[in-house]
Amino acid sequence: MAEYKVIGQNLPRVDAQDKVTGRAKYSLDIKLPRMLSGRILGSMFPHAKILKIDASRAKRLAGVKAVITADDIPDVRWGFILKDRTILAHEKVRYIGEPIAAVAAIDEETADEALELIQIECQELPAIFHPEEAMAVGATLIHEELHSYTAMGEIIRKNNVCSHTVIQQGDIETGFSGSDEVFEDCFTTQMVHQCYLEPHVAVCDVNHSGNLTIWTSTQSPFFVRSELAETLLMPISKIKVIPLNVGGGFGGKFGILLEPICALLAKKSNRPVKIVMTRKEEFTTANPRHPTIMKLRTGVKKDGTLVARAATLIYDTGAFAGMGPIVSCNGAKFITGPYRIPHIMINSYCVYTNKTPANLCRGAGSPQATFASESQMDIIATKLGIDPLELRLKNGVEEGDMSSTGQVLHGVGFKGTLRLASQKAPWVPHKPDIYQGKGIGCLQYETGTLGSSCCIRLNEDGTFALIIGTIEIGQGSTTILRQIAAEGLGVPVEAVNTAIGDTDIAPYDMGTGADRVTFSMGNAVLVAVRDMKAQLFQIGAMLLEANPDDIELQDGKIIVRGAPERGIPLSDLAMACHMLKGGPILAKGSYLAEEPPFNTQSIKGGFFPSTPAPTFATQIADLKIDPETGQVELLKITAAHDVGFAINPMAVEGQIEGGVVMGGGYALSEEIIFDQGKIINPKLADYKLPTALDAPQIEALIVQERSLTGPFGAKGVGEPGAAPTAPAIANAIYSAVGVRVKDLPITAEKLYWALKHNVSVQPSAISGQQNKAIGDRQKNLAPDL
Amino acid sequence: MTHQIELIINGEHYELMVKANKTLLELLREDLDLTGTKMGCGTGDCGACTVLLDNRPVNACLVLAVEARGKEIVTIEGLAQGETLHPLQQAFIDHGAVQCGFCTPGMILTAKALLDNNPNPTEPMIRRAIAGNICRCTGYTKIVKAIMAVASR
Ligand code: FES
Ligand code: FES
Repeated sequence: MAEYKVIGQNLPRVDAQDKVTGRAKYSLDIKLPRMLSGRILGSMFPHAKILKIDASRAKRLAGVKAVITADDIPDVRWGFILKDRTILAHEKVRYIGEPIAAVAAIDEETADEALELIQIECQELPAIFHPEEAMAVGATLIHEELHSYTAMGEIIRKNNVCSHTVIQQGDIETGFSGSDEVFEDCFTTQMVHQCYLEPHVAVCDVNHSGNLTIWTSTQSPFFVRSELAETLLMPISKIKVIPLNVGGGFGGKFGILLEPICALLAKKSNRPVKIVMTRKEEFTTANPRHPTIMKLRTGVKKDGTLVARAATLIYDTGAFAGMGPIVSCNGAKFITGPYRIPHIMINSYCVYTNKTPANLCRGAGSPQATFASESQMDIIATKLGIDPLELRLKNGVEEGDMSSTGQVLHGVGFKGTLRLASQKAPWVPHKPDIYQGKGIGCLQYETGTLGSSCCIRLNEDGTFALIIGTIEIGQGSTTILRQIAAEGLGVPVEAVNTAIGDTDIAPYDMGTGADRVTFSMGNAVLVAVRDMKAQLFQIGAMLLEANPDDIELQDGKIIVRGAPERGIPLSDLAMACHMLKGGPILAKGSYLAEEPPFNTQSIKGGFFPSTPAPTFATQIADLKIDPETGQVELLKITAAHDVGFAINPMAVEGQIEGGVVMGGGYALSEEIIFDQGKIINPKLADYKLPTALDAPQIEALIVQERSLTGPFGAKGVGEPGAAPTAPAIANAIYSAVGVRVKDLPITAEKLYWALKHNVSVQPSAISGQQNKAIGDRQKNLAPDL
Repeated sequence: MTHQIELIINGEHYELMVKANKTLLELLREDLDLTGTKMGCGTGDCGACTVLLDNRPVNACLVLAVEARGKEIVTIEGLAQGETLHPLQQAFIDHGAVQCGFCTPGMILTAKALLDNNPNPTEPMIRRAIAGNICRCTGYTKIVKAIMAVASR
């Protein structure tokens, strides 16, 4: 793109030098004088009444400086959508690992020893591990006071269902009666973890006047600050969250987790405290992806035209809602895929069980729905004898089509991704080899919710500081926002320095998540750029005795249009400003996308019903199966993503490639396995993350159908990478061996079993405790609320 | 019980008193503030703590500090020559092989050990060599490319 000088280019990351030399600082690296180690005691029971906690022996242990239990902390319930949890368990525990008490001691060993001295008397309650049992009439209530909890928005809740979303368009019965064929399938997905490489870490220090400073591995410092203020009953102005590099997040580090516990220990001990989560604690307590049960009923015409879809989705949110209601609502929004379906009726339930609370995980509800919807697309294609690519081209959304909530879509690059991926893969209707297959998975997602703001300041040497509170979790925002600012200002990228400020200094940002940074903060940067230019031109006009409308910024100088020889270098202008006007030139920019119109009648009990910028993707998996073992070998994934406009193509590719491998792990190996509420594989070695040997060749392809509202047309790309991969793989497995697996992950064991019996894998047909449980749950889907 | 050990870290000679159960990772990160070496699990499953021990990549979380007695250790801080980055460090930057950066130090050191032994590995050899280093961000594609670029020089 010759029209741009800085964006659209593969500039190296600004943080890369520090990261390759070991200089980059993470929360894990923080060490303060007199710092103590904090450890947390988690519940042994999945569901129990707490009768008595005796921490007296722990308190007496030499080296222990503070012990806290629910008695020591404010009795406040918190939660983003639903205020349903307390910092430490109060009266009741609801999952194994739920924090009950915490200790700060001179070292971790002493803290661990102290935890063992805390005596807890509990009375066990019946526990529920399966969301359908939780939904059954008369089920034990996990939150007896659900109705009294404060909630954001109008959520529909009842018994163990903490949120129910309904999306409806057209008339579902008319749709089915007008269909030639109706397909019914049930799909299930497992719980997985983000497995960012840096564990959760918090370091807290409280000074003499009670001001709290906190270094924490988080995606959302402003959320951490407000949630801390709320839970600790402290004014926001007394809390400072200091941003550092974050060793990955993928949704798992949004909002508080360790922070309030660490702060309370610091307060009580009057010393800095650091808590580092163990991997076991990560798996047991830290925000995994919701397991689901998804039942789809889809009506089609003989020629493949989609007519109707009814779906019942169950998102198992574990012991607390977290962002679950948004996640299950996303499932409802995206279960129709990037397709035109005139008649839809979707019920999505977010359900409490006595398991680890699930939360946001790359794609927030869409990977599950995408697996179900895209798998069923291929089932339909096979039955009707239509090529899967053709079926998608036939029904795929285009400019001006409607989303499931009746939003008119603009900047729709879906078919561009289908065409590009199928051309490059390439998509050939015949099978390349026995036991080898290709499959397609597609996605529609959303970009650009919530607000961002930033400042730009002119430095004395004529360079600019872009001041943001946006956290770099690895996605490249520091580099990309700098590119956007430099392009907007018309200066070389070196003339802009991105300064990530703490919460005392930086303007508010909602955080790094929901595919929103490039879009929302990018737009905020452009608003600040306009403000900066206006101020520069105003002062320039004064100095040059000209009309501000005639002033331009060219090659680092302020000039009168057509007379560059009289220009004032920005450095002179910056200094002149201090003399003339008594202060720096400080511009600010804020951006909050307008909510695009949608059909307000179409959705009940939902969140973010329309999106500022829809995004699309097509991935094609190419794989081989070893019939002796059922092992799948991924050969190649061709991934075409509509990103609107790639501000930094290399960074975009990096997001897609990382997403694809995470999606591959979701499809084939990763699973948190429970036995009676207890995780039996809370260790990276037993969890089976993809290594370099498991990762396929990846061809990342960029489609640029510009968004009308994104900065230079850009949309988000962080989350979509991981969603279409699993169905593409499941569909490729079907094309390879004619076996349909409807339950993730598609482990070698599962596939071997299916091949041996030559049947498609319904979840109920699988051996193993976990999977048998899923099968049992399928019998009785979703009683009406 | 503490022991006295002597060892060389990044070319510098150290004489230290360490507890018998202290890991090399704790020694580096906590006692010597060499925090470039990361900790992702502490149980030998992620490779973030990889350092070179007599030129062999090891998980520092699984090595006791006393086991490093008399040995030579290279951490990520010891790789660049003054201002000049090691070719692998430069290649990781140029090829976009760094995202969150948490796996990067370990990954680069593992790659260095590979290339020191075999300057011309094939792609499968590279993938095998780094299979003990988990990267959750990049999907490995650009990491493998960066290592290939240095190997083919
Ligand atoms: S920290 Fe040593 S292998 Fe993970
Ligand atoms: S760059 Fe984040 S784990 Fe590798």
